[in-house]
Amino acid sequence: MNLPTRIRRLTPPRVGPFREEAFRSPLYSARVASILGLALGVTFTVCFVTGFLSHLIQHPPSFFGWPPRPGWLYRVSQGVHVTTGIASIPLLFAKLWTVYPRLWVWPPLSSIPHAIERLALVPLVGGSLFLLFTGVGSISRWTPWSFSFPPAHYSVAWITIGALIVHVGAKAGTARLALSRRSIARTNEGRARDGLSRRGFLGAAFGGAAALAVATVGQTLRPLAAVSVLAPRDPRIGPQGLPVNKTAASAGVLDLATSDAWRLVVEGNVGNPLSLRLEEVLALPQREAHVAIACVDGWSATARWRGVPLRDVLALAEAPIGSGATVVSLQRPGAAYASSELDPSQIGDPETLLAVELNGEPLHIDHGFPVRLIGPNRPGVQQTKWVASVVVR
Amino acid sequence: MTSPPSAPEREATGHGPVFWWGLAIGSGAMAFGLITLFSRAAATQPLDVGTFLIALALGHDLLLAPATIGIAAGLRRAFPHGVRGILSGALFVTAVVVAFSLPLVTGWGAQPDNPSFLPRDYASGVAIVLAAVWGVAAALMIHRVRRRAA
Repeated sequence: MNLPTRIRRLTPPRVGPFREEAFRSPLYSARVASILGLALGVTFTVCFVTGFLSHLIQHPPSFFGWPPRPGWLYRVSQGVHVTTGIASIPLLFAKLWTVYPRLWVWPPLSSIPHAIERLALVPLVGGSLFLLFTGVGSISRWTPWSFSFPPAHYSVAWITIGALIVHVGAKAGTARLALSRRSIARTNEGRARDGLSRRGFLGAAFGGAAALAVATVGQTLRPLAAVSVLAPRDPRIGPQGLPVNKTAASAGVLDLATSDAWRLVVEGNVGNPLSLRLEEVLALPQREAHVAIACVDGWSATARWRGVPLRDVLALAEAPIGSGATVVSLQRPGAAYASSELDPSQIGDPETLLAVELNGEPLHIDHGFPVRLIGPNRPGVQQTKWVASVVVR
Repeated sequence: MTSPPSAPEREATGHGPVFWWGLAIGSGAMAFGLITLFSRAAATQPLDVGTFLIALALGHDLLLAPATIGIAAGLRRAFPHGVRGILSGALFVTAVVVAFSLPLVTGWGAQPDNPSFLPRDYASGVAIVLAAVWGVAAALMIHRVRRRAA
């Protein structure tokens, strides 16, 4: 007697949701589950790849370099990450609905591979809900948890994608069969006479995904800003027409940034250390650049900046060609995103500026007065505001 | 409703080489995630993350899903014959939109010193999105009723 048969004989009779006829809706279908699974496989892979890219940019290993060009790449990548995650919400709930009867399958475990497959559903379902819940919470700054969002979200993303790969391995054959032409013919036989049809159910799931995407994508896709009525940001709204992520008051730099004692210090591996007053910075040759702020929260907005190219400041300080640098804020040391790193390619880009103006006006204090870093293709958290010093390596 | 699986179906739903390859690769990714989680335990609070993750899964499986099934069964009887499906679909989208918008409408995460964050009237935003959803649903219902009458 093989193992599944033994297990069946040993298991008690089916009751409650374990009964064969407990779930009768035609929406509990392998074909519907496979279509939604395929869609979620695509959206979760897109979110994983774009999220991993964002992680690499912010925590670059020695082998990884992030170029300053094309200047639009990070804003597109992160906008896709957040919008795709939001669009996944209805797809995930629809998928969980259509496979819900499988939770109560009888016997619960029929073989060791089946047990492994079912065990992997815990990190898959829990991880998927965790990623979407914390993602939405984070972009709306509602964080009813004690852990730090970026590393927790990143770790659980790896766990979830791993569980997804296990699930795909277990269900690839079933899905291929369910999506075949023969399956379509069989599926139509069991069609609902009244109520939500399978096509209608899929229409609601994908329609919901599209509705949420359109209602939020305008925070990064400016032409849709007016119709994205549920976007946490509007790229047109903020001091000087640009949203703010962290204010000077919340960063605790109001007094330091407006003090006469402020100096821009350039130090480290330089032949001519600098300590410049604001008037001296303003007297240096300036250039203008249209560069986007692209936040990890998924919003982005292009603005017109004016300032001194960082490479010119480093040349004035006689920094060796090919140097890297750390730009340090007035924020207390150790505060989140109080400094950012630049490699030689980023420093060498002519549009990487120590900016003093935004859209034709001196920087607003919440945009980093008196001087901020702005460079193409960088996450917003690396566009250091209220610059105090540049340390050359 | 479902017929017994054919031989190719049994083969397709078995645990062949693809399953074991998926398990090997997926386990590696999960192990990396766990190592990352525990290596930064001060920031990630693994116990809290685990509790949160399990609570969400159980909350869905033991509360949300049964409640939805119950509500759907009740509404199915209450809805008029012929347009039940459209109404059910519109209700599903409504529930998802409302759930997503909850932190925006309530402003739970609002930053009083930063008016550029949550700058919109989100209650009106939800009303606009739901008006669009129910507008589509109404159009579909009219189309359905007319087609049946024809």
